[in-house]
This record gives sequence, C-alpha cells and structure tokens, in this order.
Amino acid sequence: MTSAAENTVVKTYYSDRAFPLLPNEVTLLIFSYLTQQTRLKLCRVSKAFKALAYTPLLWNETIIYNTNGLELDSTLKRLKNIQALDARATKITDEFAKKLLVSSARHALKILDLSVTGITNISLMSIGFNCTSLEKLFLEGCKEISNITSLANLSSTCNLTTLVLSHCESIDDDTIFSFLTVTNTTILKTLIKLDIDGCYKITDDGINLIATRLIKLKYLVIDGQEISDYSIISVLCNCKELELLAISFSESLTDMVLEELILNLQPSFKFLKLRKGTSFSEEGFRNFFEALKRREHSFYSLDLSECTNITNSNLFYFHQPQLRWLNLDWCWGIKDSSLMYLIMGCPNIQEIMMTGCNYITCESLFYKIEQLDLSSLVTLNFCSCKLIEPELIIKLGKLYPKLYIIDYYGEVYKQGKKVGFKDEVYVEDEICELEVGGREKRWGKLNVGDFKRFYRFYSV
Amino acid sequence: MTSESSEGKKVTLKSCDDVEFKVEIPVASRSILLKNMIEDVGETDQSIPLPNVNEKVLKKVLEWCQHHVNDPQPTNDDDDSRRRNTEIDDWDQRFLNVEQDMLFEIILAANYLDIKPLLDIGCKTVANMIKGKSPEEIRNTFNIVNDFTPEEEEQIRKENEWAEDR
Repeated sequence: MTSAAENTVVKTYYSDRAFPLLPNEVTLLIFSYLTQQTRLKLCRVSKAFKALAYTPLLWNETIIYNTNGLELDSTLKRLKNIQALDARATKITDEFAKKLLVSSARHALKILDLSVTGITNISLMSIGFNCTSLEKLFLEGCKEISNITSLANLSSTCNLTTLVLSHCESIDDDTIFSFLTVTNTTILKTLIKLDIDGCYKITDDGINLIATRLIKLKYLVIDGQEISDYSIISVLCNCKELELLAISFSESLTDMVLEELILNLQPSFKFLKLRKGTSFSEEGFRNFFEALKRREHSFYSLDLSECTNITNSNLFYFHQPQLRWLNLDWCWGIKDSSLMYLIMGCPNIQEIMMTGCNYITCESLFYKIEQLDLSSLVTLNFCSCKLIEPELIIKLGKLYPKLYIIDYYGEVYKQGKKVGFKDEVYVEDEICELEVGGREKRWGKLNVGDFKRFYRFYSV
Repeated sequence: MTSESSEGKKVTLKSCDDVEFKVEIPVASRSILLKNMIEDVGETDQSIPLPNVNEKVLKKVLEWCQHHVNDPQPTNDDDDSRRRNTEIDDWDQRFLNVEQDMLFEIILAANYLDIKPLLDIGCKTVANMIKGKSPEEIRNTFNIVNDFTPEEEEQIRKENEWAEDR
C-alpha cells in the first residue's frame, strides 16, 4: 500500500518532466544541443516534451521558412527572447515585422534577416523606432525599400555593425544622402560592414558620401556601374580601416585606382574584388603587382575576373605569399606558363579560378612538376578552357589526391575520376563556419566553383 | 600545479548506500561542489556524505574524474562554441556507452556534483540519441507515452509549419 501511494506521488510530482529521471533544466540543456528541425520533432513526442521544447530560451535563434501557420500571437510568445531571426525569402509582411518589433522581442534582437521579402519602408520605421540591441540587419533584394532614414532613429544602445542592402534596387543617392546626413553619430561609428552590391542607381556622389561619412568601414561591397575613379579613390583615402573592398562592375575605373590602392595600402586590407576591370591596362597591372611585391603586401582573396589586360607579362610579377583564393575567370590573355608563375608566387594558394582562359593547357605544370609545390591547392577551375585535355586533368589528379579540377564542361575530377558537376560538388571535410546563431554561414555551404568563396576567409 | 602539491592527500566520500571511497583531492576536485567543500572544511578525516549518489554511479563518476584529472577547468564564457560542438572524444564515448538508466544517473550526478564537462558530454550523448529520429522513434527509445489526441497532434503540426524546412 505504502509503496503504491509513494509511486503515485512521485508520478504526479514529475508529470511535467520530459524525461522522468531528469529535472527539466537538465533536459533543456540536452535540447539546446539540437537544431530547430529536431526540436520541432520533440514538440510532437509528448505534452511535457512540447512544453519544454517551446521554451523561449531555445528559440533565441530562429529561422522562419515560410508563413504557413504563422500565428503571430502564439508564435511571438515563443520568440520573446529571440536574438537572431532569419525570415529570408518568406512572405513576411510589414505587419508581422511591426508586431515582432513592438513585442518584447525587440530588446534582445541582435540579428535580423528580412532579405527577399516584400517589406517596405514601413518595416524600417518599426526597426528604427523599436530595436534596442540590433547589430546586424540583412535586407538583400527588398526591392520596395527606398528610404532607410528611419534607421537613424535606432537607439544609441544599438551597436549596428552590419547593413546589407544588396540588390535593393530602389536605393539611390537620395536614400544614402538622407540616411547619412540625418544619422546620429552612433551609427557612423559602429557601422563597419556595408553591402550595396547591385544598387546600381547609386552614383559617385553616393559612394563619396559613404566614404567621407563612414570612415570606420572595414567591409564595403558596391555595384560599381557608372562609378568612376573619383569616388573609389575617395573610399581608399578615407576608409583607412578597410579590410574588404568588392566592386562588381569596374569598367569605368582606370589605372589611377590601382595606383591609389598602393598609395593607401594598409596591412589589414586583405580582400579585393575588381571584377570586369576592363579599363585597367596591362602596364597598370604590372605596376600594381610589382608594387605589391615590393611592399610585401599579400591579399587573402583576389577577384580580378574579366580584367582582360591581365596577361603573362604582368603575372610574371605576381607574388602573393598569403593568397588563398584567386579568380581570373575570362582573363583570356593568360598563357599556360602563367599558371606556373602563379603557383610559384603564391605558395599558400588553395583555389584558382580560370574559367574561359583559352590558352591554359596545364602542360607547363608538368614541365617543372618537381620544383612546384601544389600541396596546398584544393581547386583548379578550368571550365570553358578549350585547350584543357582530360588526360592531363586525370594525371594531375592522381599526383595530387586532394585536388579538385574542373574541366571544360564544368565536370569535377578528383584523383582522376569524375565526381560530379561543379555546382553539386563540395570540398570534402571543409569546415562550414557558423554564423553567431549556430546556423551555417549566410551563403551556406559553398560548392567548389562558387565565386562567393571570395568571402570565405573573411569573418566579422 | 596544485595537483602536485596536494598529491597523495585524500578525502573520503560516502555514497547514499553507505559505501566509502578514498579519493585523491585533485580527482574529487573535478566536482566544483566537492572542491568548494574541501576548501571550506580544510583537512578532515570525516567522510563527506553524498545523499544523492549511489555506489555504482559514484564509482563510475570517479572513474571519469580520474581520467580527466589534468584537464583544464572549464570556462563559462564559451557558451556558443560549446553548443555548436556536439563531438565527444573516443574515451568519453566508450565511458558513456552504458544502459540508458545509468546514463541518466551519471547526468544527474554530474549535475548535483557540479561537474560541468561531464554534464555536457552526458547531455550531448542524449542529444545524439535524439538526432535524426522521428517523434515515434524518440518515444520508443526513451519509453515515453504519447499523450496527445490526434486533434492535438494536428494542431501542433499546424502551429509549427512556419518553422519547417522543406
């Protein structure tokens, strides 16, 4: 009798426990090791599991995948301590953003991703008025956004470091002007990462204003269409802490920019992309590479794709001992012997992209194979290089078993065998760095040929 | 290192079923609870009673403490990276390859004795047992009764559709 009674007491007492043996605070610790997708399964195990799996603490970092069944009030209860919300590419509306941002969530929220949603300037007002801890804001591809002035209202307790507005096509000089001239001094000091790639309406005036106002920038990505030397030189002269500069269309830039790059070179400047720099001359690049060598400055990532005046004569001076990633796609003047200079000048190079470099055959590598060290190489991309022979790819792959080589058709070879198409092959054992929220980095896992690998060694 | 100076010195622990263990102080000090007690009380011949841990579990926990006696003390500030990493080293994996009840008892003891690294790997082990399983498989693994009605199950499915990756 007694023991039966005791059992009942014990059972009643613990009925809110998920695992009868463990106190719920320990079970919470177990749940904290599990991803959102696994926690959703826990919700369906039992009532006690559900109650525990709904604990707001476990939802500090949450991804909204779609808006089906998204009942604001009940969901917001779970999200009340949320620190990182990713609602990328969902049907999230201004109304949801407003509700979220006036709820208790606004105090904890540090990272907000509303990229590729239909939100408008109204949501930016909600953000500007409500957030007290916002650090990173991602609004990629929000085409409706034209006015970001309300971000100037952000509380001075916010440490906004990152603002991504890439492909927000409505953004123009006026947007930038009203934001940067109204803004309180806090944002001017805290903002170090700005991405306005694809915002093609921004002209020299907008870029110049950014350069003179946001002098603490470490990371700047711009579109570049119709941008001239003048504003880029302003960036180089003013933003002395720059670590990464990426320009997607550099057609209008001249050798002056290359010269100013050298004149303003800071040791921390490690990532440079000057895609489509068709107006840079052969001599300009020669002087640039020579000066870098003389100054012993080496980048980690360089994207000089479609810079058609990169040739054998200037690559001879290319000496970048710390370089990991190099993109020379469509620099079709490059001869095969350049490949050898590159490997000798960049002993730590991991990836070389040479799509469409038609003179590349790989033969020069075999000519001096004993003296070359290819052991750090991970990827060679020879897509659309019409002289590349499969036999040499196979031979090279057998010599260097870790090496991924992409052939003319975009097929990836490893150890002499085809392992798939370049868009589907990932580097084996590659550590996928994690964003603050324990989720994969913004661009997720990157396949062997992805040009976003430019950013791979950059961490903020 | 303190482990050298206090080597040889022992403390006696008594399990809830009255079995005594003589343990070197550095080994016992893997438990923050015991470490603080020993520091507060100083040298003593009296045994320390542990009313929440039985002989079998205490023996097992002390085996872990002995093996990890020279590990650096864990820090609190590394919460994020701790959570990202669900890997457990080989020795610990073998150590925790025990009956489920025993595993839970080790976790309970680690929690009570305040041995954070042991608590962590215990919890990770359970988390790894959950990973990749359906709700039904989770119930079977841990012997849990489904107390939902079909309507309630449908309701849960609906209210979580937004968080489902498809």
